[in-house]
Amino acid sequence: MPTTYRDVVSRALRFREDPKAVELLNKVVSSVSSRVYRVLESYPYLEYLAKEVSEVKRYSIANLDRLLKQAMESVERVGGRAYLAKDSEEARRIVGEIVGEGQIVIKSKSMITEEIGLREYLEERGNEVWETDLGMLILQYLEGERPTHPVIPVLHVSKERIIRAFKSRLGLKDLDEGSPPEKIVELARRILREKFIKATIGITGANAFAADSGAVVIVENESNARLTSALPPKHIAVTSIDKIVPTLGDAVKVAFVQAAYTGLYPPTYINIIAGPSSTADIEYERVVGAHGPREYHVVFIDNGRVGALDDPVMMDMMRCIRCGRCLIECPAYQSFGPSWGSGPYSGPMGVGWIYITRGIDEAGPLSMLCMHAGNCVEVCPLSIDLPSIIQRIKSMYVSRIMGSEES
Amino acid sequence: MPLELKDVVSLIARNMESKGNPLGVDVDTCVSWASGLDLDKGGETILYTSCMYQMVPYIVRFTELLEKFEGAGGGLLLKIGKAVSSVVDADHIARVPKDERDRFNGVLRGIAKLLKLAGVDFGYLYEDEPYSGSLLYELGLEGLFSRHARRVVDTFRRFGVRRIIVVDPHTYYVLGKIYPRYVDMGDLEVIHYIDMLHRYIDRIPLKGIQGERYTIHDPCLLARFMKIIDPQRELLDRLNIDLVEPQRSRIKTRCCGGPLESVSPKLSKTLGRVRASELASYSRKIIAMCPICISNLVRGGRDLDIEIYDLSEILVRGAG
Ligand code: SF4
Repeated sequence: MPTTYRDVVSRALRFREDPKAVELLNKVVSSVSSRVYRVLESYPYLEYLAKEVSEVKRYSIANLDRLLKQAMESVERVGGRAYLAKDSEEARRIVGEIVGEGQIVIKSKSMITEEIGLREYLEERGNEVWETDLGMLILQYLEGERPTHPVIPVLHVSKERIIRAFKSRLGLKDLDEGSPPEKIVELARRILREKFIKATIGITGANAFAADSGAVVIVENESNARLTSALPPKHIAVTSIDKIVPTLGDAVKVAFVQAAYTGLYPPTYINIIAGPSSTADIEYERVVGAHGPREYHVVFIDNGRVGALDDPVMMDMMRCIRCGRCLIECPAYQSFGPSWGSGPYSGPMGVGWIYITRGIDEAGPLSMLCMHAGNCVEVCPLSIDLPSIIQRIKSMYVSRIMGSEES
Repeated sequence: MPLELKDVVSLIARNMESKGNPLGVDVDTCVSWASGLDLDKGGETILYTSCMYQMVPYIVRFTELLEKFEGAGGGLLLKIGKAVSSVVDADHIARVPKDERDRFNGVLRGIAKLLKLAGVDFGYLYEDEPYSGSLLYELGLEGLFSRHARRVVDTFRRFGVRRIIVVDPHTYYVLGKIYPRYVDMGDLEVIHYIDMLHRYIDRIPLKGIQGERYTIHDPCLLARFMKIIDPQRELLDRLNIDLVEPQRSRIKTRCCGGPLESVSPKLSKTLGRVRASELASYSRKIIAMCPICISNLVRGGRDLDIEIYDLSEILVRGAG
């Protein structure tokens, strides 16, 4: 069922009627906001880096065809296998074939895997799939919930709800209402420890992908992406094609900027994975499969993105690095929070990405809650022109619902 | 039950067609502020109101009416178009108290007075003054908007206008940034009255006024999109008032919720309330400078102990 305009407004109205949810949102949003400002103040070079990344992404989008080809060749050159999926269905099928059936699969957080519904698909095929990012693990056990921020997926969920879900779904008896967050983290760690060891497949996303070196770059703080990409014998990196940048240096810069504008800087870990694990310690001959994965698969996903390049306004969305700062400073997101989005995408950038990946019927109704306040473009590290992008979606949507009455 | 977007949009489009403005207010409502001021009709430089301030009391009522429909059941929604237009057209306008109309007409008279004091010569288009179409653009009605914009520019040409002094952020934004995408503006110059006053600040006899504490609300369009932030502060400075800046001000200002008025009056009001309470924590006297902000802060701040002023109302006090 496509979302209608009235659904969108109803959801927002309902959200506002829940004072606890509103209070939680206010609290989290304002602490993320001040954290980002603090980070930018403490590390002034980040703003220069952001400008550089802004240009790198502009170049990358303009040269996407060539960079995609180069990226795929690089993956093969470093001993991996590269795949290109046109849409969600093809992407699921490709990953499904690499994974097989009856496997234990661990995953790190990735918006693109949410976008294509990968976990559900792999589970249907008889695999046991574990989200290893704590936020995503929580979501996995909250019926019908979706990530509401690209980096802090459960920004809208209270500790009490987390405890309830963990108790009932994971059978964690020693949790109770008053358990501190440390306790929840400790228990999640204990459960996942075993899965990390037993898993045969590790699936990660990518914050950036380096075309020159076939490397995926992932920034994180939990170390779960590090373990997910290192422990199982097979690593599958799933990435949307807009993540491709020319060089490894560029990719690392993207990771820096993404972390900073989320307020998590310096990031605890930046992972660079450029091929299967190998050693050349014996007579300098390369042997694949040392302590890490023997197989490195990279699945590049289009899912509407190439189409967005035809539209000079929409094209700018493709530079987005999903730091989520536009959400944090947007008056609509600050007010309607989790209700203003669909699938893995929320907030101003969400409207753009939903349009690109799911079309006008889904994005149009959401666009109507944009107030054109302009905080988003002001705070976006890449100065992506979100107000114009959303305005464009609005106008397409309105002329569609008005039909011949207005054109 | 939320409003049906199509109903609201059709209503606005219909009003545009019949009365040339989104609420369907009539010409008298738009031009009566100028009576007795002896402004020339037309001229190279004009003051362009786009009927925005004049509409404030009607916007408040129109939105409150829509809000009732938003709360009502599905059956009523079909009737909303007719019901709203008839109410707004006739009877509703009669119900707007005279003092409210006078107040917003007074805002424009104040702006005219300040410009005169600054030595700026300007005319006015009276009943030929078109509405800018800003709401059409904001609602995504780009087809209607672009056709309308062409007519507006034609009108300016017909009256030999070269320079347009605008009084509100919405008109400033569409004329300054959006019109050029759809129409050839030629050598038409668009300037905001705040910038104009600031340019001639030394000519205006601004004196200190009684020390009361005020806070300020920057309109998003003015501060972020048009980058008018300091001139109004420098003008206020001359009045020696105690101005407290809210934490979210200037480039970080927070939306008043006004742009959602016709999309969802309830959500819009919620945002208006959030912003009004935030501002109230700095001072109960709030200086705003946009008719849409004012109307939504009024709605959102109904049960708060606050007073909302237009910037020009404060400046006029200092100008004796
Ligand atoms: S649009 Fe800009 S601010 Fe928003 S998520 Fe993307 S990069 Fe970050």
